Amino acid sequence: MNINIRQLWEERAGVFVPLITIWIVVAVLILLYYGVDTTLFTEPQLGNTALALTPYVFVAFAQAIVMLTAGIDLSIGASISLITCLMATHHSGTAVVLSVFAGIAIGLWNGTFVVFLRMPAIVVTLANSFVISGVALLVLPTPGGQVGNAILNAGSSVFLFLPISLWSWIVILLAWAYFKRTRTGLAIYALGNNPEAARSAGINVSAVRLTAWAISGFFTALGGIALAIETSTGDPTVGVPFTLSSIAGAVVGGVSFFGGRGTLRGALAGGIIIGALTNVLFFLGISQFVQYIVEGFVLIGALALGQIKVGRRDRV
Amino acid sequence: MLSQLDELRFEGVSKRFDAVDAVRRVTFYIRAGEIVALLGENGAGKSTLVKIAAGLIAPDEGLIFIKGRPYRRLTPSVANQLGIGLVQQELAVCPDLTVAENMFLGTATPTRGGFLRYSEMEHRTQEILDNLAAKVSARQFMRTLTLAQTQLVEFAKQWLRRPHILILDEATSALSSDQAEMVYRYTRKLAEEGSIILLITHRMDELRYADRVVVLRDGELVGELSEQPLDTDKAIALMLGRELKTVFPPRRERHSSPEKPPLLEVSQLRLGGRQPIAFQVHEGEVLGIGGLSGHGQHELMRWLFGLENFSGQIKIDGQFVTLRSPVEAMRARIAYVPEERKTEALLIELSGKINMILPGMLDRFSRLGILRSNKIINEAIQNGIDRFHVKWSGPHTIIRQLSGGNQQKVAVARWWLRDPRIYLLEDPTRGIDVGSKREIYTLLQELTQSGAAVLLTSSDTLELIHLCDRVLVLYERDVIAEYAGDQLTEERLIRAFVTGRAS
Repeated sequence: MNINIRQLWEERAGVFVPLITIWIVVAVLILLYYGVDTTLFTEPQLGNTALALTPYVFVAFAQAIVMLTAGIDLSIGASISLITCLMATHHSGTAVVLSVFAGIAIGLWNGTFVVFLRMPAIVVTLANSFVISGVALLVLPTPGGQVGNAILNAGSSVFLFLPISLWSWIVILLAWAYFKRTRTGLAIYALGNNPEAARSAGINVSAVRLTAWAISGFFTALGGIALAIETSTGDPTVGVPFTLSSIAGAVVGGVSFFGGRGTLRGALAGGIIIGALTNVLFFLGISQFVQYIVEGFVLIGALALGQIKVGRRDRV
Repeated sequence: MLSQLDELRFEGVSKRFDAVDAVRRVTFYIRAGEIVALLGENGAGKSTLVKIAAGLIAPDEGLIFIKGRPYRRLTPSVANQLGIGLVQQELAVCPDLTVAENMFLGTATPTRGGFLRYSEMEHRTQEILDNLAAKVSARQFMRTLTLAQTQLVEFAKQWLRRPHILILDEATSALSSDQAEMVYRYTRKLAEEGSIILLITHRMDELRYADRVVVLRDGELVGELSEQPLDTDKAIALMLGRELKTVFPPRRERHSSPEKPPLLEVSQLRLGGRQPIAFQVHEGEVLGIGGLSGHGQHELMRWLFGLENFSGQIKIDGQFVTLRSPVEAMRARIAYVPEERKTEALLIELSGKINMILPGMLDRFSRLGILRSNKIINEAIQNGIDRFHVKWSGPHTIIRQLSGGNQQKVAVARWWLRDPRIYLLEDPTRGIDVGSKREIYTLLQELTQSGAAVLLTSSDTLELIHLCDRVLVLYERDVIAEYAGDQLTEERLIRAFVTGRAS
């Protein structure tokens, strides 16, 4: 019974940077935000900020789950675009149902090629991102449309002192905590870690992988819905930067590219950091181009930190 | 007599790899409640039989009877359904899951309303591990465990599952003798509950835990010992005693020049055993690195080639050198031909030409990063091909199309083009036909005659005896013996390999 402190501290994330460090960064960012705008913790500012961060948090969740199975999803941005278009062209109830359905269907569609035909996820999702972009342009050729009022009201409502978007993060974190304690949840970590060990332990690796893709698609749908609520319109290209944001959020949050390591708590922190960064740069009036540069460097930097920690192993 | 329904029976099982019989017409059985150990040298066919029993490879001929039913071949999922549990030396665990999660992964996970019952999983895991005196917490992450602790967890996993047939393949290799005894005590309990146990161990003293010992030699079953205590001499006699199937070149006298410093001198090498390792190799000498597989031979070779990091000192021609990468080793004129030639050495889908120039690309075949003219390169390749008698239809032949023997010749010849002074050769004749073996033996001798030194590992003990001037025996990453001249006999070597003691 000798658990040492270091072990407890490392936790399952801690691949690139220990989780605690990430949360310190989040706290600092929030303080800086507060320094610029002291109305941050009062409505409607709190709700607006949380809503602005929500798409980044959800795409980080979506990417994290695929990455846990040692995959990657490059179609998240295109899916986000498509979902804003669906949201802006249908009545409230229909729009939400249709969006969630589309998200899960895209996840299963990507997953089918990766799981059953054993195609590399990076190629499958890249190709599908163009398919999805095309569909988005068919649904809504130019930015516009109008998200239903019922949805807009619901999205900016406050429940028990907290904006509904913050509640959505909490609910999903709790649900994931429970899901991790189911056979499927544990199996996702196991197969990402060592697919052979998982198979030899009697886990249906294909079914579990496909489930992970479906869950990922569901989170992408939620991200798209949040973005549609925030902008109240649809745009067939608005999602483009979110593919990079989703990877950056997951990686900054300590999810490993090699599968099996990482938490949604970490992805939440990563998503907040990336979202806050993007929004701050936007409000400071810095151009989109510079935002791309900054975000790219953040991703590379997070990966580099991890590699430096792993050490110089593969010398030639 | 017990019913045949309770047996695991191999009936005339054969399996060939390339040109070599791994196992040939092996017939034996294990009754329910019995522990049977397989004994044999490296390459005697033990692991092939284990893999057949676990459904990892299919036999070419013969039947496996389980619960009275004949199987032509098993698959991992069928083996799973039949309750066949395997603990291997190379472990399959999920490092980022906890010990309890690993224990209960997949099957028989306790749940309530779909949720895993962690308290129960951890409680039961802890109970089993405490019984095994594993000093491991059920909540620890698997990656924080030592190799010995991991082996105990792997065994505990099987104890939890109560397999119908349990195969322990070197399952105690990292354990202390106390820990191993604990494992065998629980193995005996499983047998008493009616399980069938197949045991493979490199430790002679662990054979006393078996009811019977079945001896394999060159893929054939050559005898069985059931009296206790086990007669070690008799067992070793059974493992040896084969006819000379390959002709080794006659031994020649090495003219040593004692005034010159040794070509290679290793000292203070800490490979992970108890003692630091030190040895010397002189020009023109063949030094054998013997031992059962997995006792550090591979690591030693890789370290010398800059692929592994252990602390230790290396002198070449009496000068200290550092070999931290393959490039540094190559500049010191060291060549390395790894055991797994198809995966670690050759690019088997590419042409013979590309394969031949790869090691020489560093210096011999390039100037300022540009490859030299085709004329120079082709001439050099032709030289190597002639010298090593490689039979191919030209430099554009794809390596995959060559026989194992010719592949191996390419693997050595391409280094020869760089004119190395030290060759590190791992099992250079494994899986190749007798004719090619003979050629490689002769070539090896010619290399040393021209002043190169060779470090050789081999799964064939006779090779070590007939090709080497001296043989170091590694056991659990320690050098436990060194034999040369008249001392270098098959019996001495094998005894040292399996007992870990010099004689």
